[in-house]
Amino acid sequence: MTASADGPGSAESTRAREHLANERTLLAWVRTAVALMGLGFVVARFGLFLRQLALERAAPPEPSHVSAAIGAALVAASVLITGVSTVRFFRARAQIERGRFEPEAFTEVLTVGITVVGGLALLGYLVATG
Amino acid sequence: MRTRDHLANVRTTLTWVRTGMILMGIGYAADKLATLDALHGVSNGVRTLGHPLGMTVVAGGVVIAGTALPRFLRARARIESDRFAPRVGTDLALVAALGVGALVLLVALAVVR
Repeated sequence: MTASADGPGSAESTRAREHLANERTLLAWVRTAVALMGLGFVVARFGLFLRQLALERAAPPEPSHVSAAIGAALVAASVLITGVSTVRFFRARAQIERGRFEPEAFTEVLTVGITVVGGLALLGYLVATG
Repeated sequence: MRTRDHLANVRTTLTWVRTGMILMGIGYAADKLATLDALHGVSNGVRTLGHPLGMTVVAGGVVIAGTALPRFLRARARIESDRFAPRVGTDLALVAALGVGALVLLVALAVVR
């Protein structure tokens, strides 16, 4: 084995780097799902908290079921995104092994769609309660 | 090389989406904290500022998450055709908006107290 056989430009090194890049991408997906989960949790719980407080102070209560529904939907979406991206990770892994990587867009379109729709629902809720 | 380019493009897209999500969370918290202040009988200055500020930040988060998709698809096509060209328009707009937002927040915090 010569020095260049496993040097930076070799096929073996490229393969390793592609797998590591695939793994980093999966972790980025997981991080995104965790962020969405956190957002959903905050939305659901904060609405509930404000409703409780309003009731204690005999003020007009917040419609907390709306925030609870948006929050739960965001948490559910984060689970879906984790699942879909994990399937994508294993497919990309097999493609790298075969040396034929196919770029996809489904999971990205799904995630941006969910985030934008969730954000618009949140905005509508804030406008309605503000 | 192409494989890693595509994977890096996905990660960059996710970072944009995450940035949008964080802004949505901050905007939501700002809006609801204004409601909390109102319930506690804090001066209505905070309340009147907190709601429009919060909604603007949430709207900004939606726009940022939304722009991530055309950016992703464009970069994806350009990586495939080996003609990747960086674009800084969205990045500059985001940084400028954040700078303005930080200044507004600073002034709001100084004035409203």
